[in-house]
Amino acid sequence: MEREDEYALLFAKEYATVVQAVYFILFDRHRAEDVAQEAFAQLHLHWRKVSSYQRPDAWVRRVAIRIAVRHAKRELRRSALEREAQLTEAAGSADLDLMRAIGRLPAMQRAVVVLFYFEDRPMAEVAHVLSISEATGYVHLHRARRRLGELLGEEVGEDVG
Amino acid sequence: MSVDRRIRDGLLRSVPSIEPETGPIFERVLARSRRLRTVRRAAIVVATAAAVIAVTVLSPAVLDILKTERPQPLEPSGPTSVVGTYRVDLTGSADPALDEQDLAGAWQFALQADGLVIVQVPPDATIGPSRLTYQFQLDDRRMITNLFANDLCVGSASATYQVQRVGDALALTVVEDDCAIRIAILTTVPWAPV
Repeated sequence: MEREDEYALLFAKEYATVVQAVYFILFDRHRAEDVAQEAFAQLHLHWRKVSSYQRPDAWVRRVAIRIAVRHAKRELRRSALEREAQLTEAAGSADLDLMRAIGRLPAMQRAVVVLFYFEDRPMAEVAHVLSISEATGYVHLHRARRRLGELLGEEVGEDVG
Repeated sequence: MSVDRRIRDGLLRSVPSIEPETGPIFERVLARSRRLRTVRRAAIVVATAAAVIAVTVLSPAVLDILKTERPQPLEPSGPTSVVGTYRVDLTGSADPALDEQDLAGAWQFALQADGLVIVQVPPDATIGPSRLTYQFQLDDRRMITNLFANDLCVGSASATYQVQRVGDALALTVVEDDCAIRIAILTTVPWAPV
């Protein structure tokens, strides 16, 4: 298969899930798509090298999540009203209470929650994607679970992992 | 319900509301990639032109500086010869990997006589704690270190660098290291004493 075809195939397979993962960090559909497109454009730029990696999909996801975390840190200044409007707009079948609660977490905790629960990755991979140690990853996860438990009124059992 | 189950179920339930189209987007992404390539090439041309101008116009001054601040071997060998706190200011333009991983900014490395190196990471860096502790060993002007082995360079236990003095600063060049981001952080600019 030609290299460009492989890229097109990976794009078709992974684009939607990358947008979804980024959305759960930014809670802004348009910006999530923009971040995913930027990550895939960078993947295309480096495709000659990255295509030889064992998991090129992990590379693009890593770039997208990192850009999203950076955006999320900056967007703390965005008003709660603005965030709420965007959430309601994308409501559909979404669990809005959960979305609101995740939206109140710091950026790194959001990223850990998305990678751990939504992408179902083991903590070693979560840590690798975010370039943090596993111990730091567990600290973020522990704090996120405790906070989400409080906000959602759900039971927080023993630590996972 | 446990919070874990609520998070998993809630995220999965919310996915159908985020189903982007891929067809029309693909061409847009390719165009964006072409734009990135053009910008990158332009940046290289500008940097090269700037370097040529700098060398041509400033060459006498540069030669003077080189004469007075030629890299000197470290003496005596051993950790004590480099003990001190050094600052490394990194910009994203110096190496795209730094920008991509959000690692640009002011780094501080405190090399201690006991062989510990305390790293103060830039405030915006997303690598966990803002203060990291690793080890280094200096042997015949070669520094062997496990810097970043637990965060940025997982799977790459140690690395070896050649250390030279440029004035009061330290200049590191890679001897052996398979972690690209560590090479970018340690060698892009000289370590200026604080």
